[in-house]
Amino acid sequence: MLIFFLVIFLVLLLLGMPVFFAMLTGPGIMLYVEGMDRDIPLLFRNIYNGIDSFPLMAIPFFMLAGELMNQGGITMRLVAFSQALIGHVRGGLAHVNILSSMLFAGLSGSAVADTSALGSMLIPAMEKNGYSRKFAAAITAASSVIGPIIPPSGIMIIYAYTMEISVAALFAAGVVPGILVGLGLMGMTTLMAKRYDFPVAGRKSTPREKVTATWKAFFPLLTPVIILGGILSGVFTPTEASAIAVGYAMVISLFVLRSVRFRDLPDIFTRSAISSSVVLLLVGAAIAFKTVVSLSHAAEMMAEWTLSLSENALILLFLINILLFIVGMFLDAGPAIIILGPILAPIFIKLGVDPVHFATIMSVNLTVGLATPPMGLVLFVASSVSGEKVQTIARAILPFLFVEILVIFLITFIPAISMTIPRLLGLA
Amino acid sequence: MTAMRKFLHLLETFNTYMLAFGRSIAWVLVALMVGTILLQVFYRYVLDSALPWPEEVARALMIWMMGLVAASGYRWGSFVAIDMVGEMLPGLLQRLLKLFLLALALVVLCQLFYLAIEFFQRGFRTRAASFHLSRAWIYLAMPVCFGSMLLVNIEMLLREIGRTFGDPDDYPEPPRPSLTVAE
Amino acid sequence: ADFKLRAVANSNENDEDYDGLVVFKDFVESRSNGKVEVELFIGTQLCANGTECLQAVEDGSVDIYISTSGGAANMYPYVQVLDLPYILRDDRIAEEVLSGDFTREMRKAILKDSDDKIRLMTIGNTGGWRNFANTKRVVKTPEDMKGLKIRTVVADLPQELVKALGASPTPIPWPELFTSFQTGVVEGSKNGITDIMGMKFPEAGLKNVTLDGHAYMGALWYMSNESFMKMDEETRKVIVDGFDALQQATFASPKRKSIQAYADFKKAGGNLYVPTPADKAAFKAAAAPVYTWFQKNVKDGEKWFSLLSSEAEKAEKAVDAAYAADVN
Ligand code: NA
Ligand code: NA
Repeated sequence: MLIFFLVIFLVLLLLGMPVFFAMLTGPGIMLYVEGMDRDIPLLFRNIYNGIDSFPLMAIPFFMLAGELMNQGGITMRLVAFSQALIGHVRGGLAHVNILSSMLFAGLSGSAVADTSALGSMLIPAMEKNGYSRKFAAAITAASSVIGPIIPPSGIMIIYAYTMEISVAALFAAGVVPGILVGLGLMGMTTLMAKRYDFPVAGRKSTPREKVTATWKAFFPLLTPVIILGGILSGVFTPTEASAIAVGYAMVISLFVLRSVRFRDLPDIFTRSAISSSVVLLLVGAAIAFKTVVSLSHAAEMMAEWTLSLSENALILLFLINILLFIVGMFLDAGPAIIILGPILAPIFIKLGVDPVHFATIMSVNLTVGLATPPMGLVLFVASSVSGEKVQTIARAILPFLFVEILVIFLITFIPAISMTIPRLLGLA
Repeated sequence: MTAMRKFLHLLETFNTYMLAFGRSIAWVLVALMVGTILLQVFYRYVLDSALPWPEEVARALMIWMMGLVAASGYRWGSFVAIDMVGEMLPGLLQRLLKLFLLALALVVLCQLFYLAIEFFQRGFRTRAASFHLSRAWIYLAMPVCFGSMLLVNIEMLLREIGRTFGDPDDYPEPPRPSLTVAE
Repeated sequence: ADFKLRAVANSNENDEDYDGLVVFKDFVESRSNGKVEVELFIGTQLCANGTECLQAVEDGSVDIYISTSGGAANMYPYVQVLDLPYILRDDRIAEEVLSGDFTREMRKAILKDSDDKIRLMTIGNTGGWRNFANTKRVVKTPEDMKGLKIRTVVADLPQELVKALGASPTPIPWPELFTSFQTGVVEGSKNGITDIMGMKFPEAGLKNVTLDGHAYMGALWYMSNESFMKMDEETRKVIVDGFDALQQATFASPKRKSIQAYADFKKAGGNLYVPTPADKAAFKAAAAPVYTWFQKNVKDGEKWFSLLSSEAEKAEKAVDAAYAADVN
């Protein structure tokens, strides 16, 4: 039974094998056992085939742009800008954390970058201001998932690549849901601030201070305008826009803000090369894994089974939300999209759900999974940045997860939230 | 045991240089990738005539970039895994589980390396679509990628064997270069 | 079943390739009395493009595969001879040529270049003819093409053709093409009508199609030579007949499918221009540099160019003789 590869994969994953190896070992063992030797080279080739892609190149570029922006001071300027806007309210730094994440999301495509960039700055600051460390780490992790919802987004690039839909449409669909997650988290923070008597960060900024903070953040804040403007108006392809983002980030950090020196560049480039090579290998392994999903007809079986539960799109969407949430707990968002997207999307498109709408549901749902244990990538990062245990952060993050799940359901059952902007732009 | 420790030390040193070499090329490739795509943008939007080759060249650069630094990522633990179950096990069992997984990864990497060599050799029969180069020279990044990961995997396996059956303090992690940028 | 064949087509179930495969599967499964079983993998489940899938056939992971000539260009550059513009006059000529020795010659070449691993079984059609379409104006003569930004795939021959006509070739990934028309990143493309309508391009402004028919959308069907040769001769005959039935089906399918596509195109406000013989001659003359380019730059280019030309001439004579008998 070829389909046992799924079981082996899950067991190895739970035992602690890196996802990359588990995705190859499970299928590899079963192909060997079943005597399907000719498919082992196919497995290998599809690792390469999955990586050799132009649209995927946007991922290393957006990572690099984020990395450059994060060097010396640009993140700080975004935080200062947020502080000038909302720092004075109760729970001010928590709000600043969320708002900074929303702004940073416009520069970066990854939640991990967001957590490490903002976390290393804001968690100590929040602690000094009187918040508990676990709360600071939890709000950092919870708000960092906005990173891949508001474009640019590595996860959406992967979705568009595997499902052959337009990256621009998907990016456009992510804007409102991302803002909604941010507002939801702020709402929850406000409730908690009253109840737990959160500290106030400082006095209200004077108009003059606001202008200064805005001016200092002006060039970084222009980045999303250039990237999104370029992509959504269709002037640049996403990969081109990502390269332009790198170029722009280099110009402002080297020459305008002088926050990066030429001799810093090799290290910055190397770091983004390493993190993107890990993502690329993961994408390749997931594409290879998907091959065996096809060969074993697991996809058809799952589709059939799903439709046997109900033919009502709304009920199925509800069930899928739960399924995706559970999958997101165990699997990184990229591989989950590559493996499940081709299985699930056709079912719902047939039932009348817009492909872009479904893509948004799936992306947001799996993105939130980044902040849930046991496989919550941003929880790991928040833990290493703050020194707080993963389990402790996982408990403190619960109220925020609740908000995010609520937003997922809103996005799922009110298509207009995600679809209005792409429709207005004629992208969907 | 001493012989193994000596060999491990040799391998660690070799890997350290090999990975450093890979990284010192990879960052240049990243810069070239950015440059290539920006050139394409310039030609397409400013000069209004698209060049045929940048897309494919940039993809080749990306694959080589990956091939050269994947092993660094592997050695430094950037390959994500769930540690939950392992951490719940008692010490020795935890070590044995780690050994088992590393041994399994070794088999996978051997197989991948072997297939990658074959892939490279067959690559001489196809050429790039937009420039005159056999695709084998792009495919070569794959044996480099999996070969270097294999060496790192052997190193990790030996270290884990040493820690399991010897004194763990004798088998420290190899030094990790700091890639943080001075402020 | 004694022989389980795995067939891959990178298109979808609305495509001519799928029609062909359905006919093939039914034919060989029934005529072989269940000795042969065909499993279809439609789309990019096992491999995603010509280079990838042909390598999978070489590896023995895939038994049957269909590519366009562009899809095989990296592996066997000379197949692009089929993309040379204006050599095949119309469907009758193309079908006559592709049913004859031209395909056998190409089989020999591909077998040789693939170390006896890939066997070209037949050449059918996938989508009728390529025509120039654009968002700007009705193109009647080659002069009207000047300055248009035309989307092509990343392959040299189509780019040479677009350049020869004074337009500017721009490689854009297929999923981004709709948006690129909307925003003017590109102003035209070279596709068959069914693809144009399948992607709803007229909604993005692609409203002018010139039926210049510059290239026959040939579909090359390959089989793993090892899988083929290990069958007994009788079964091999069934397979060969199956591919013949498939070829007939793919010759017919685009003709049927394009009726609806053209009707939809007109309903969407599209302008269809049918070039006069004089216009067509002008297009052919303007495209001449591509012939030279092909012969100079592609391995065995001269041989394939003259083979296709002479086969086309032969077919024209045969068809003209048939006219003489049928018309009078
Ligand atoms: Na983002
Ligand atoms: Na945050």
